[in-house]
Amino acid sequence: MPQVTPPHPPAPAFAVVGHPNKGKSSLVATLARDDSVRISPEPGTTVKARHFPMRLERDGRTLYTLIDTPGFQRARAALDWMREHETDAASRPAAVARFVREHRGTDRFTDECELLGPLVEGAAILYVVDGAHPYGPEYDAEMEVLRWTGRPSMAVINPIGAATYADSWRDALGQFFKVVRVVDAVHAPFEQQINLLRAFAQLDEAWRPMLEEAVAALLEERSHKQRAAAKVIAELLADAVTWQEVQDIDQEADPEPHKVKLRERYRGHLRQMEREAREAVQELYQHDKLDRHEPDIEVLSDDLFSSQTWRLFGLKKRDLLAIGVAGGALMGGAIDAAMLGASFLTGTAIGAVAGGAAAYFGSDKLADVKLVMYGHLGRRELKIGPMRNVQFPFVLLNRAALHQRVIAARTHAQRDRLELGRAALEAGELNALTTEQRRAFGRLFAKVQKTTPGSPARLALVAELAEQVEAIIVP
Amino acid sequence: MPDAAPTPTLADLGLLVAAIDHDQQRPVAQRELDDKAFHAANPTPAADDLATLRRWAAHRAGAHHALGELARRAAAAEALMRVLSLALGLAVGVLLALGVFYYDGSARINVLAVLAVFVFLPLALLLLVGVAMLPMRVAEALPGVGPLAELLRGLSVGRVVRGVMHLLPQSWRDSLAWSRGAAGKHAQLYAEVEKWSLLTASQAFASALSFAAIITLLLLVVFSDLAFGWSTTLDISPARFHELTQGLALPWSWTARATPSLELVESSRYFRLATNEATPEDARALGGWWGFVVMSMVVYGLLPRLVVWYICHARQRAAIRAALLTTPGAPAVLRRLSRAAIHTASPEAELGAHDTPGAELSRSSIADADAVIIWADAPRPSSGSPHPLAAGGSRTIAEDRAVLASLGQRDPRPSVALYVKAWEPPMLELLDFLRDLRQTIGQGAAITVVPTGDASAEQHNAWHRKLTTLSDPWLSVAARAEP
Repeated sequence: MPQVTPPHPPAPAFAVVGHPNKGKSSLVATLARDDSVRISPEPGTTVKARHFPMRLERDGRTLYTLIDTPGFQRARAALDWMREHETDAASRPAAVARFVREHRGTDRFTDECELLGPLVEGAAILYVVDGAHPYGPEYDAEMEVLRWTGRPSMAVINPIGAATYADSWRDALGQFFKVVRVVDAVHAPFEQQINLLRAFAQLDEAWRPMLEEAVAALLEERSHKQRAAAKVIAELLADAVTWQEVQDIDQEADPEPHKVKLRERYRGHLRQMEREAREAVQELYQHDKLDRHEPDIEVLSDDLFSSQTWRLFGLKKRDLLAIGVAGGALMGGAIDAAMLGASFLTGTAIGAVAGGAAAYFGSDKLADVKLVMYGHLGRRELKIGPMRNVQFPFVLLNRAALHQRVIAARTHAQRDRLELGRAALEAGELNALTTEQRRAFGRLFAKVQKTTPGSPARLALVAELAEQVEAIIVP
Repeated sequence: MPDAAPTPTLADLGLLVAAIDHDQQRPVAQRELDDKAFHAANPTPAADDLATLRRWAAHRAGAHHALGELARRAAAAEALMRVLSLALGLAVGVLLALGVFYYDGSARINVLAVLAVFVFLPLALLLLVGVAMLPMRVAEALPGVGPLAELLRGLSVGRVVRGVMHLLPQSWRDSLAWSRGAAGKHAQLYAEVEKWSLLTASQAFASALSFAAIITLLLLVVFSDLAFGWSTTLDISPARFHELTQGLALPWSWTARATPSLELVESSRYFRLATNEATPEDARALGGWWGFVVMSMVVYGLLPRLVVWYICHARQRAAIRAALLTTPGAPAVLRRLSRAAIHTASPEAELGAHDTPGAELSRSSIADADAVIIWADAPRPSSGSPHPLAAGGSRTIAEDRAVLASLGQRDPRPSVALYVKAWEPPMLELLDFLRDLRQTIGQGAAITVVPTGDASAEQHNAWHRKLTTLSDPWLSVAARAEP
């Protein structure tokens, strides 16, 4: 018999409940990607149930709702009250409903009413415990109260710090809950969040279509963000390798002090570009409330032009040789093309050797200020950039890719500084481009340098660059 | 909503810049409402970024009267500029043709002059257009070509058309100035757009001119008698001139009617001094040149122009497309619109907890407590009271009361040490118990709460802070044993 489903079945709601201070709010902040959730080591920070609907912009439909609730405070007393008012096992949900009705507005069971209210209204239970500490008998009363509600339920073991007691918890929770999962509420990677949503569907078959739709929407949004971030980075790279700073000076003026200032302005502008790209990426991942001034990643807050940065994020000398060869060959190839091949590809060969040598020996040189005679009304022009240094775009790329990775992996429950091991970076684990990728980037950087901002050619190259960047930032 | 016409126009660019400007001046909350309205009106995503941006700009123009009005006028101004280019070209073409093909029977129309005006001059000008079309980077690299290209762009007919637009009513001029101003604001980004717009306008003009000249000639051929000849001071033999015409007629050599024969070439040379009376037969033969003249004008005047016009138009479109996508603020709008696809945050505000802190608690020692209570099976100290009491956890509230009752019977009232799990937060249930305990043992007797087990300093502090809310002067919390 074909199943008839209503056009808009009510969206499932999941009330995140449990003992105080076990990461309920963290889990909600992570899943709902909401920085406004107050998370604090102080117990009882959440005082009101708060709804987090997952809503699609395109049709305004809500696919599911998460509800953050305060923790149990007087579970035993509440259970005692319910026992007194129950007549038989079938009337237990009614006893819970009556409990909420009679105590709402009084100050005896404020938190219990807040957390049981959504369950009485039909929400499913998402019970959160701390896997770093052992199970204790004080949890029995609250689990019993939850059982009395008769709502579909699932338990999440949140390993705050370490999941030392996950197994003993699993045994205890298994008696009360159909589904038990270990999820780090603060650091859960995206895939784990998706798996948790899929697990919700196990609670009630009728919820599956909506939750599947939610999962699909989130996955789609994820890849969209990755594409958008790749584009931001590609635009940064293209703009940075073509940036020029120009200044007119008097014929008689001493150029030296102007040169110093111009060099500083040029570097300042490149730093600014990098900062703006980071802000754009943070905004994409809804982390725009992160400290705006500097990303709190130790290695990323190093200055763009410090030797430390270049050592960490730059390429090795032998890698540079390959890039230079590729870039040089490109230029030589253009000569060959111009001579309609009459040069028998000698242009390519000479270009490759020259490019390789230039990259190898000039890898430490930054752009310098040039004085251009300009012969116009007795003025001269000082010009700096664009940066021809082969290392430079790679340093930028590696920094941007690392920043994107950290931001993409950061949940909204993380309120601490972003930490990143310098050791891992020094070991080269974080900016490991394959030889082909390095060559492809080298070639694209060389091509981009020949374009002007806003030109169709530039647009096409930025799109190509973005594809390459996406390939390295998608895990 | 279906997407706007697939070809982005200059008016689109102007509208987008104005919409972004307008958008950036709006408060964030207002912008969110705008985005919401946009998503409601456009439930299906656009094909690409460009389509999204144009939809968005069109939506903003629809929502804001001033923007919409500006966009309409800019589109009309753009259309007018196109029409003016063509009209000007047509008019000049007709006048030029009437001049060149002027024939009152007194002197023949010199084919050489016609070729000079409608074939060689346009070809030479086309060469200059080619220079102006060079990418700036290439033009600058070739010595002397850079300034020439710039000069040529400066002399473009497109500018003349813009000059003519200044004769329009004020409101039109305003909207034109607006779209020019929008372009001027990001001059570097729009340099390509500017270049190809001017070139497109000038090629439209030139194509219209060629077309009008050809049509005028055809009309003259149909409705009057024209006599062509060729005349030059140079010492060119009819055979040489025939070779030249044969060469020119190569592309249409398949039709003999448009290729002058050697006889026609020989017979149609004239010298003004030698006035010879022509017979009607001669006149008919001299008219035989028209096919050649028309084909020359089509093949060397009109067709190359149409091709270059098409190329310029295509490049203009590509440049506008690129400018639309790279307009400052556009990437941010795109990111914002795509980010709003899913909402997960709470629409409700978070309410804060409010504990009223009481007096500071002392951190006392527990060595001299008379009674020990273990709360919820907290880890038990190895030394200390051999008979601790148990409360909380799996025990019922009635059992807790029994513990309190047993303490109430002791005389003197005992001091109590209450062991709790340090890693668990202090709950109201425990605070209730402490209040009851105080009532049982009376004022003055010491109660020491001892958080035990593995816990962080933060968790210990939480105990300390929570218990101060009881404002019990004889209540203390044991200091955390240093790990």
